[in-house]
Amino acid sequence: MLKLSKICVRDTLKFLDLSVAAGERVLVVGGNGTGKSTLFGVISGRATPEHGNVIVDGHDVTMIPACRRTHAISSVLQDMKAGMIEEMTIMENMKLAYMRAGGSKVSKADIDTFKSKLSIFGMNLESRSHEYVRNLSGGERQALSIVMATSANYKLLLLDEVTSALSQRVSDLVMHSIDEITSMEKTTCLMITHDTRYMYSFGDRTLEMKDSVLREVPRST
Amino acid sequence: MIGIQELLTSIEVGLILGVVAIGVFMTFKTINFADMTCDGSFVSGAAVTAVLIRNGANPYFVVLASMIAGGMAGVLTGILNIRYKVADLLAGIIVAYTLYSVNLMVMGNVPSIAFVDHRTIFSDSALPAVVVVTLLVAAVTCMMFSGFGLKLRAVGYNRQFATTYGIDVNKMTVLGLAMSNAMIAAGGSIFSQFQGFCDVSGGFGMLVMGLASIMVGTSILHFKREPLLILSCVTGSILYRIFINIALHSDVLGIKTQNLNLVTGLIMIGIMIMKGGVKRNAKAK
Repeated sequence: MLKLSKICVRDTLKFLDLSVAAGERVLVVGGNGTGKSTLFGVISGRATPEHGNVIVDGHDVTMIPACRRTHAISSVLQDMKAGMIEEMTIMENMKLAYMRAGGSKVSKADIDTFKSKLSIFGMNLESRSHEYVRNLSGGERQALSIVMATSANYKLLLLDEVTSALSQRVSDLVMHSIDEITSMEKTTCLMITHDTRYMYSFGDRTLEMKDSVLREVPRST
Repeated sequence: MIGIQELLTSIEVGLILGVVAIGVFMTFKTINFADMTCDGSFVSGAAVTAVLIRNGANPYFVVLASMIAGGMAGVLTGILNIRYKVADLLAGIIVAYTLYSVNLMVMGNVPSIAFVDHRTIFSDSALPAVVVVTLLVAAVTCMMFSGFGLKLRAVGYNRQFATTYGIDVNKMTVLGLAMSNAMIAAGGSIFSQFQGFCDVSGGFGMLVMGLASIMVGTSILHFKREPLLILSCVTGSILYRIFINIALHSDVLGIKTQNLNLVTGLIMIGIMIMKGGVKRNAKAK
């Protein structure tokens, strides 16, 4: 599904290779400044590599701008404000999320699917679709941004430290819900986290970014 | 105090210039782009109108032609900003400055053109002009409620979000500028038909007038649903005209026509101070 070959970005990434199979859920860990977010930037198109190729679902997307990759790559960014529009309602944000697929209207079935995904988080967001996002708590916002990112058709989901600003209780709830949604939809997913509690429990394998290289972290059985 | 006839004229002028206020709203609020092209594109609309009407063109078609001219000015500002990375304020100032000469050329190198004796949308009554303005307001309001309008607003609120969700920010910015300046030029066209002449300096202060209308309108009619704020712009424009007219006709205040900019500036400062006070009180609570 995703193949990176010989990716170079200044001093951050040096001839980095990565291969993720369809339906595989991969956790990426590593210290600050090791280039994890740059790696996501290269995959999503927010950063252009000086060398190497990004192949998604068999297509070379290296030179395709970020806004034209969104039908294939969906992202939840570390900065919660970038994942939604605070001045709009939940419903308006949902419409924008579905319009990513190219259409300009959202069907009743789409709205029902969206609400049922929101209900997985158990925050009662599904019954507050006309609430303005600025009135939501941090956990509710992150839940909304994850549901928005997993709306419409996409091939690869990128999650960049989605629990970093949340309390432990809300983090556990969000991680559990992400697990449920990605398992249910057999999502190909790449997730960056600093939280070592999820290092071996989430997804299929764990990679550690160190010295611009990704190394497999063995999981205890 | 002002008479009924002066009040009706204020409403009429306010309604026409409400179209300009909508154009200003579309850039400053909707796509969050400080566009200064307004003073130039307003005259472009008026200049195209004057020349075409003097050559016997249909006055309704003339409004459309003016919108195309204004739209082109907006596209130029957009290209300068997006393609050549000129700051939004500077791009608009350069285009507005350049348009002065372009508008003069369109007008055959004369500073003003009168066409009082030619057929305009005001020839029979003011009703056709009211219909044209209503159609323009309805079109923009419907657009703002559409998926396209939602994307346009998303660009103004959060460019990073817009990119993440597949919205081409550059394309939407240029389209927003084109539509905004098309509306401003339509305002220029209708206003010049109302006056029966076009002056190359007639656009001076139009941007400030548009901003003042938005401030007055959104302070009085604050709709929760943003697309409806388009109606606040028109209401604000009408109320602004009425305020100005009352101020100029008040013997007590003793304000004269030459004090118009001072009055406008004071109205804007007053509203901003009031809004600041409301925000401070809300925070204190």
